[in-house]
Order: sequence, then C-alpha cells, then structure tokens
Amino acid sequence: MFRTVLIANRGEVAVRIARACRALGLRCVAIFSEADRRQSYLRQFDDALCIGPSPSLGSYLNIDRIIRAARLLDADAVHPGYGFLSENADFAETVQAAGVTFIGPSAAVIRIMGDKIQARRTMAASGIPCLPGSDGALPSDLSEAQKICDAIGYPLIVKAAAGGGGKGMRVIGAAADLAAGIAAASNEAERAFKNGVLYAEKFLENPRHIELQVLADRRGNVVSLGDRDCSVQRRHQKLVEEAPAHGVSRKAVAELGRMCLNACNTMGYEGAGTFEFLYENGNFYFIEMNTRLQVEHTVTEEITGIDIVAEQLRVAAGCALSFTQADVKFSAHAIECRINAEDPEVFVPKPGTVEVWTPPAGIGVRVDSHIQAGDVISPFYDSMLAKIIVCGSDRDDAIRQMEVALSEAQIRGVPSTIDFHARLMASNEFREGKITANFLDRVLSKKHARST
Amino acid sequence: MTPEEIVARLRDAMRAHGVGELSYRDSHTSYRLVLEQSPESAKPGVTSERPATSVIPSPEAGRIRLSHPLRSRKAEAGQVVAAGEPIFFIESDGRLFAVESRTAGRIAQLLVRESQLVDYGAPLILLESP
Repeated sequence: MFRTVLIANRGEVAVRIARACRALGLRCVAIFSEADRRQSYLRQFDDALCIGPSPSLGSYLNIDRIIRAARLLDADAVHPGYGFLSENADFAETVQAAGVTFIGPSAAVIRIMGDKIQARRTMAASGIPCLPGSDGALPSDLSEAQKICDAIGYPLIVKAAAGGGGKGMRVIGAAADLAAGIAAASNEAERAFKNGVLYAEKFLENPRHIELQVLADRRGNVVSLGDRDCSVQRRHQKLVEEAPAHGVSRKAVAELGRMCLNACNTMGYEGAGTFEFLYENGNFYFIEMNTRLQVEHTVTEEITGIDIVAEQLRVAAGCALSFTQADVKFSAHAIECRINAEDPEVFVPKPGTVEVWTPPAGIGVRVDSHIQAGDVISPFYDSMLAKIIVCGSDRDDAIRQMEVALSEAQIRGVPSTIDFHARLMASNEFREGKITANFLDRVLSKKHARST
Repeated sequence: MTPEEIVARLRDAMRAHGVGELSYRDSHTSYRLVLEQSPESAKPGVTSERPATSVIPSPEAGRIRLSHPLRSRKAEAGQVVAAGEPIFFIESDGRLFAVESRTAGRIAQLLVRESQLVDYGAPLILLESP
C-alpha cells in the first residue's frame, strides 16, 4: 500500500479522498492555490502546500508544480479527483514517469477515451450500442446521402461539420424531408462557415442520461456497480443524480453491464470508470467514458455499501478489489442534490463568504462538503458547496427524505440552489420520473423568453 | 492577552519597525495585518526618515537554501542587495529558483530558516529600500 497520497485537487472531492485515505490508514497531503489559502478544509490533511496563484493554470492545472509538490511532500501516489487534470493523459504519464503512482487507468486508456471517434470505435467493437451516424461527412450526392440517412433511421439531425451554435443544423423527421433539410442546412452552413459539409446522426428527442459505474483491478477482476440516472442537468452540468435509474429494465442494465465489463477487459482498464449513455425508448446509446471518479459516485456507494474511493486506492496499489460481482447487492434508492452557490433563477455562480451553513442530518442522510461558516466561495473555481445524498427504501421514500433534508439545510451569505432542489422534488415531472436531459434547458429558455 | 490586545501590540510593533504588512499562515491558521497610513506618518518629515519596507514573497513552493555556490555569501539580515540580485534559492525537486529583489535595498529580516519548506507566495524577506 502507499504511505502518502497527494490529492491534486481542491474542495469537496479533496475532502472525500482524504476520508478514504484515513479509513485505510494512509497519510494524505494536498496542494492548494492562493485563493484557497484560508479555506477551513485544509485542516483535514496531514500536510498541505500552496503551489501557485489563484487561476488554475498556475496551480490546480499546473503539472510541473504538482509533480514537484508530490516530491516535496514525499507522496508516492497522486489522486487527481474529478475535473482539473483527472482525465489528462499527459498528467497521468508525467506522474508515472516521476516514479509516483497515478490513481486511475493508464495514460494510454485515458487518451483513447478522450478521443470521441476512437472511444466510439472501441465501444462498438465490444458490442456496446452507439448512436448511429454517418461516421464522417455526408456525400454531396443526394442519393448516396439518402442511403446513409435511411440506414441511420429517422428522426435524424444533420449538422454542419465546421459549425456550432445551432447554425447549419436541421432535424429531419422523415425520408421525404431529407432533400429539403439537407439543402437548407448546407446553404446555412455555407453562409455561416463558408463550408457546406454536413454529417448526420440519429436524433433523440427526449433522451435520459443513464450511466454505468465499473471498478477494475490489475488482476483481471472487473465488476459493475450498476446504473445511475443523471437526467436533471443544465447545459450538460448535472444537478441531481439517482441510483438506480427508475423504470429501466434490470435485465437490460445487467446485459449492458456485461458489455461494459468486456470493454474494460479488452482495454485493460484499471480503477473506477463510468460509461455514459443516452437512453430513449428502451435503447441505450454510448456517449463517452469517464476515466475517473465522478461527483455522483456517492449514490452508487449508498445503494451498494462499497467505498469506491477506497477501492480506487487499493487497485492503484496493485491489490485486488475487496469484493466480487457476486458480493454486489443493490438495495434501496439514493438521490444526490448538488448544492451550488448560484443564483437559483439563472444558475450563474455568485462568489461570496458563507456566513451560515447548517447541513441536514439524520438516518439515511449523507452530506459531502468542504464548507464551514466563514469560508469564501471564490470566483476562480466551480461553485459547489455541498452534495446532499439521501437513501430511502424506494424512490418515493428517497424523495420524501430529500425534501426533509433540504428543509433542514441552511446557507446564508451566498445564494444557493437549495430552493431550486426543493421545488424540483415537489414537481410532478420529477416525482413521476419524466425528466429528460433537455428538460431544464427547455423550462429555462421558456422562462427567459417570457422575461424578455 | 485577548486577541484585541495581541493585535494592538502587533500594530505598535509594526509601527515601531516601519512594517506595513504582516501575514502568517500554516495549515491551521492564517492572518494578515495591514497598517493603514496614519495621518502622522503621512507627514513628509516623518516618512523621509524611515526607509520603505517591503516583503519578498516566495516564487515557488520548496525548501529554503540560504547558501549556494552561485552566491559567495550566505544571506543574512543587514546585507545590502542590488536590484535583480539572487538573494538565496528555493529548491524544488532538484531545481533551484532564485529569490530576487526587484529593487535595491537592505535585508531588514530573514523570515525563513535553512531547509524550511515554504508555500508559494510565503513571505521570505523584509527588505528596506532607501
């Protein structure tokens, strides 16, 4: 096992990792930036070193300074947490080259999964379903393009290869609309980007975001820890996560899990990883794989009783996973709400000083946070204050528990998303499990349209 | 002593030594005292007699190396340094980073000791500039 683990991160995840280190009896040290100099959570480490200025490029994203800090603090392993350098293959490589263990998969695997086309091809080779698409530019010959699009199926979306910002984009509902749609999108793309090249992919109108957690050790043991639903998101930022995903066939999840485990074996995957999917009409479509710990790992821990971070540390040290697939039992339903210091109407981060922070407590309530009254939420980093996680006997019970927990939680000094979550928990859309990945953006754009 | 009394004493000591700012940090505590210019010290007659004091912060996290082959003498209080002169070094994973003064002056006080592990930005030297 390691003697000293350096946490190359800040805030909530740094505290989470420190907890796992202490549980395993490992010394744990951290880096911080000038902006975090006075944060109360720094007390939770055995040692900590300020390595650079507040902007992340000079500190939390500075590979050279982090490696030197690892040496200065006598660390023999580095945990990257999530965000920052957690999926940076160069960082993983540099850490290993310095003779320090990177807690995560190999740089080669991180690199493959970071390239969308390569990742998709790797998954397809393992039989994992991917979103059907043209896999490159649509030919300018209409009958050729028609053949490709018919094979993808309708509705589909054609997008400008050179584009972005919604320009040169058309949703095509049926084969009959294809010619007109392609012409319109191509003209628009030509005008906007001086490039009319389009590509096509299957269009999902109301997909849910469902993901699968895996853990793998270096000895060929790979286990699936089941699924999570993370459909409550705004501009691809997740706000609420739950496990398991309600209303999804357990048989389908188990089958998908087997495919993911195969893919892990093929890649030689090590550590914790998440396969992300869009889910619509009973079908899963692979989006990407996250080669790191995720914010929402907590809901999986709550329903399985497995400490994912402790297992990451074990497998990085070359030990076997402490359990097998047969030991994984799913019980109950867990929900996590991310409490951010944001304007609850527009979700814009609002820095400030936390004057009061009263976390909820009680049976089945878990709060992962680095915040104490007096701490400053700086404008340099993301504004997450805390994660409130509850565990109930079923989904309805978990929602009730979350409502109680949110009513107990109190934050003064900075705005927070507590009230947003309380309204969401009370909404029919959430209670009936009807929320899809674009739900919030739609609601907010309607609101915006009304107010302007 | 109450915290207020401690602050009052520190303030008096800062005035007496012409120190404008005092900051301290370890992994448990941090504080920073900034002396606002009092009307009295703002008088031209008073300030001209007292040299301006500034703090040189650490350019990197690392260990203090007060003596080094690149410098003939070990850094000490009282030494006069030229602008841009390396006063001592910070060693970090086998690399040396020079601690330089941007201006010419005299080392009023060394705030660190040999081999001490310092943070990025930690106060290293109190420098008096004429």
